[in-house]
Amino acid sequence: MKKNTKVMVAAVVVLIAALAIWFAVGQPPDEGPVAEDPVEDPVAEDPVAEDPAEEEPVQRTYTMFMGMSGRDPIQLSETRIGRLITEKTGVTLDIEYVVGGDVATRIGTMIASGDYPDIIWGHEHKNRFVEAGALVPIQDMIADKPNIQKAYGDILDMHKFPDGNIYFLAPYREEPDLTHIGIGFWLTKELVRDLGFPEITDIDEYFDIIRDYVARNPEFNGAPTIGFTFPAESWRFFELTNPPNFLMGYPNDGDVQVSRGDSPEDFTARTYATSDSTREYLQRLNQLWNEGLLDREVFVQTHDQWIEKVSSGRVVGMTAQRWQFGFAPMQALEDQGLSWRRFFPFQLLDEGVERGQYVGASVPVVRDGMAISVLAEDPEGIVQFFEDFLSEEVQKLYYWGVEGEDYNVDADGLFYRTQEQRDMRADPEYGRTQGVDWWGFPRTILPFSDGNKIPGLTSSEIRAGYDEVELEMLEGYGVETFAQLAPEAIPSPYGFGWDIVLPEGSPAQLAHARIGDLRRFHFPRMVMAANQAEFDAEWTAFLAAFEESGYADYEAHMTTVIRERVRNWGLLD
Amino acid sequence: MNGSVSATINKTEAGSLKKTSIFKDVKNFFKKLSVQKALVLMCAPFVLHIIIFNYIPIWGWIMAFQEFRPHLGIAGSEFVGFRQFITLFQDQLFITVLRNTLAMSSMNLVFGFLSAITLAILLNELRNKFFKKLVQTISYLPYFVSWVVVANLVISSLSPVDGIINRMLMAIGILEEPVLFMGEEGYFWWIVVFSNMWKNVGWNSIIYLSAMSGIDPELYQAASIDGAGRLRRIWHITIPGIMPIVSILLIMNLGWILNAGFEQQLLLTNPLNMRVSEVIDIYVLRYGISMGRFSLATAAGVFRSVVSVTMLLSANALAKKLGSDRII
Repeated sequence: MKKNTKVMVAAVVVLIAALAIWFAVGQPPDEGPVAEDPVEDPVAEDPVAEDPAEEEPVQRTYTMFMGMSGRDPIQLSETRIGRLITEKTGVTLDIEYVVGGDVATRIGTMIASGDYPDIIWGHEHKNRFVEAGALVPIQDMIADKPNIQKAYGDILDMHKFPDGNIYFLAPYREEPDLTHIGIGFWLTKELVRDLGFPEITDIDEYFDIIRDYVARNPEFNGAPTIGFTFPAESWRFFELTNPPNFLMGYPNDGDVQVSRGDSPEDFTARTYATSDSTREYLQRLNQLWNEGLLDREVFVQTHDQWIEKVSSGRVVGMTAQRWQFGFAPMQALEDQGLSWRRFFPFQLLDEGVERGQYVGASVPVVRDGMAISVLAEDPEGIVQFFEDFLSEEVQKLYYWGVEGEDYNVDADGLFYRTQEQRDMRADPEYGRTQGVDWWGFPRTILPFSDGNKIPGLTSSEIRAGYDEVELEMLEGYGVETFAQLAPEAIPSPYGFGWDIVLPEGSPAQLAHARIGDLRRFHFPRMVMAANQAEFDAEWTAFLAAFEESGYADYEAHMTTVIRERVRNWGLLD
Repeated sequence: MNGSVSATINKTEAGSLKKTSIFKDVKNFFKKLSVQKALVLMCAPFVLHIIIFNYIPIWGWIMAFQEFRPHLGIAGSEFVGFRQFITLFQDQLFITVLRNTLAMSSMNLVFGFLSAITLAILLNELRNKFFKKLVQTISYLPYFVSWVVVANLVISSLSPVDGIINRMLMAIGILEEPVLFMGEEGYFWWIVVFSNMWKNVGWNSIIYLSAMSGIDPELYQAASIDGAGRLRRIWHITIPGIMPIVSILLIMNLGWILNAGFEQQLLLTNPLNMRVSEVIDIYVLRYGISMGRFSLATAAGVFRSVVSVTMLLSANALAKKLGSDRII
């Protein structure tokens, strides 16, 4: 009996423990945030905050979901300027990030469960939220807000969704990047200097230069030189499929080329994956492969391995967008004293093409922004937050920082930065502990009332950002900023094609996925073909399979959306 | 004990007493339950857990027969019968990933079993306790390493430029030129099998090793007296001794045949081997969940469950026929 009692007690204890654990673990998460960082300040306790506005801003907290992968999980309350913004607007944001995971899946589950936070940043999945009816239209709420109207007034039409509603204010404004050219066929700066700062537009000339260089310098720092490479891992595969488009002189519209005209009906989208330009480009790559000049692991390596190669200084030429390698690898090269092994872009063109559109016109990219969900209890308050955020004072805080710490004011009242302050900003730690300017808040690009402009458009800041290597390059080419080396971008009445989102489960989306798979399968085999016969066989197979992919649905959808944009945005003149 | 005897007696009296024997069986069941109530209580939370998380959600299978849209909910979504399944099976890509899944699963099964049993047998024969423990520990450490790390290791070591495998093979003279292993379709399944084996062999061998320690040592002594050498002893005593465990694990693993793993393939796939590397999970992720086609994803899941249960029950029945130990 005693033994039985003991066992009984043990069993009951286990039962209770199991149930307790189950309840604790099975709690539904708080709306939105699964804060990776334990340091959280959910409610701002600042009753004695300075209030620039007439009344004390109401202290409130909103939850937010950041649907873009690869973001540093930083909360507003963790950075110096973030806290100042909280002081001025009264708002604290509890942001949930997707760290290292698959954003699409997370969003899928969020939509299926209907468990939305107050604010949603959907990135390229914005449409899924709209279709699921998760977002609140804001056009009425912003109609009477002066700051918002001033900053966004003339581009509000561009924000309209097919249902006529506006759901967010896009943070990507039409400010051109005057500092650097963001894309092209890159060549190591050392080589460009040694060649006397040439202007190259012919792709064969470009590859010949590489051939010549590798023949003379088969090794760099003890490791084999890599003549040409590009990122190709999973979603970065467009670095292989986009160049033919640019070579033909078209801008980056994703996987289509758009013919233009005087009326919306003249705009038509066509895929270019089966064009001669694509085949010839692959042919050239195949030639490089067989000569041993193409990175042998280009299709099997992970992106980290690619970055490692670029950071080692062994790479002579590549094609990529600047943001693929623009930060850590370039810093690594500088740290190794290999600043001259960094890269300089050329906008190459096919024969007969007059003008490249590598650098697209700067239009606001209305693909995503901070949107208000239907479960938000205080949509008016959130809109008021946007309004307060767009006030001059907060915008100055956002762009420039705190006077005396992040920037100084000269005798004429103009803002400027000392080299120290610039160095401080260039440090990646700055964003994490001090700053705020990459979070995607609504912002203005208009000059401030005292004549100062945002840093990106202030010429002293732009030139100050260049180091000696770059200044030498600029001198060699006889220009003030790198942007002057690219032809002026042609304005686009429909923005960019690459940010057009395909509706879920639609034939267009399916066709696009199939086209993507076909290219991922056939193109590498063509590049790696051992002889011409293999190459041709692979190309023929690709063409045949492409016919079956339903690409017409994709083209039709893109055409429709582009025509709609042209009609609605009213930028055609 | 009493109950079962009386039940037997009742059964031998044909026909008319059948009803009472069933009643007695039920009574016996509850009697046994109350005698073992402590154990039953301990099992209760887990049984409850399985019922709530694994059985109750089955009603969600209805999504596989609908065109599910999240904002309409299950009640409001259109009912389409078997259309999703037809779409699934008409998609050439699905058939391909099905083939890949089955191939990698069965290869993993065969090699996994062979390698784990072999390692267990070898370890069992070791006399030096210290060395035995050392080998065991080293062999099951990779089990705890995440696939992300292992995949990176695999890709690096198979690199044609400076990967260790290529360098070794060239140094020995087997290869003249480095081979792009990760880029050849023919090698991929073997890469998966071997990296799987490396990662899991230690862990899997633990259970066989413990089964072997349960074999009566007298049998070994008797056999060696009769003149059996080491190999004969292994063949006639050790292996039959672990057969029950082997068949149970085999049946269980056959039930998992359509689960060839997910992280491993996701991390090792690249454009050159994608035709043989993508598995059902990746297909469901890319063409189902990421595109918002929840119904299609559910249909694939339903298909997989049905196949698993069928395989499990068939394997079990086969084991029964063969007189071997089984699960049910």
